[in-house]
Amino acid sequence: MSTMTNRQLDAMQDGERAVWFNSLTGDESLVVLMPVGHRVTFLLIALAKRALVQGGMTVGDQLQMLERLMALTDTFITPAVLAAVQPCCETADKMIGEALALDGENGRLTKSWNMLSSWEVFWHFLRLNPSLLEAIRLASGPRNAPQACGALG
Amino acid sequence: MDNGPVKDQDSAPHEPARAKRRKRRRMGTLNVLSEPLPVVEGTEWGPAMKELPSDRHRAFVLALYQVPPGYGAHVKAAKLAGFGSSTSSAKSWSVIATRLAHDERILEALREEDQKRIRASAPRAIRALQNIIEDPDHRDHARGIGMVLDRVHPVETTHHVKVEHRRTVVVATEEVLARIAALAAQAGLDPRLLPPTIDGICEEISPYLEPADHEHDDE
Repeated sequence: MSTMTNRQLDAMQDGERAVWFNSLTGDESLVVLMPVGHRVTFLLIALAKRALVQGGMTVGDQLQMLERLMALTDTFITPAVLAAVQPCCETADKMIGEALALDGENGRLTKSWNMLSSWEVFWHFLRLNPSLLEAIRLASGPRNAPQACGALG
Repeated sequence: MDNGPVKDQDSAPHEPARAKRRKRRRMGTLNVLSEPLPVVEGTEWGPAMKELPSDRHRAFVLALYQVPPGYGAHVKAAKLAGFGSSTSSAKSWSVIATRLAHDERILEALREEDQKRIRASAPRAIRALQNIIEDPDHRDHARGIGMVLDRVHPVETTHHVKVEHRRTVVVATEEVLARIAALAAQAGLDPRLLPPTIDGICEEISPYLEPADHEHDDE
């Protein structure tokens, strides 16, 4: 089911969508139920880690990048979840770059955000970097659930 | 010429003037709260509402949320809460309502109740926002989407990470390097495997020389 394309999903009627939803595996359900904004955050964490590992930064840049990376943590993406994400590969780096190029001068990143968080594209990233799925499992685990609910109040 | 009846002021010179007796107004029966405040199992008043001296005061606070706002709202709330008596005049009602509305305990209870009601109405506000977003024909459709996007934390963070780039000169002191190592460890990166940074010390190795050779060529 993770091979379902965005076009196929868009063409589904409500009934078909319900059937598809019920047929999802555990990992697929985790990805479906995760807020789409967090999908992009996971990708950016992997991208930032790649930039850190690749080098070519000053001390100030390195410090700033690490501080901003740690600032992405919240009740869902805890420091442990963030630490579980491995740097992305070159292919994923290029894919993210292509997606960000869709927006051009649009600072809100609307198109790239939709593209990167879509079901089909996000699963490509999950296949390229399995640590993302591990991190999602960790984030969706029972340890995180009460904190997330408490944050709503 | 008849000027009408003239009172003879000398008719009773030694009789003292009788004080005009004021008719004593009959006291009416005191009003009561029409029905006791409902008790919902599992809930209790907030601290400020508990501090109020009676149920009538609590009813006054609650009634302020029921009566239409505007002129006379406090008097209406006081009437609903069972203050005054059957013979209270308009002036009396005004005094009762003003005293209640400016009582510090009532004001504190109102603040508490305001917060409760705002919190309780948050789900309805979110539902209304959802309705706006789901209705493309709504005149505030785009604004609703903008509001949601503005509050989506990851999008804003993405924007900062990718676009904002502030240049601050950070010197590689022991403290900074230790901070980097600690942050890298927190982020799941081995600090020892981080590549070396590209910082360097600029040193002027020779003074700038004027190209004097060209002058000789021209000559």
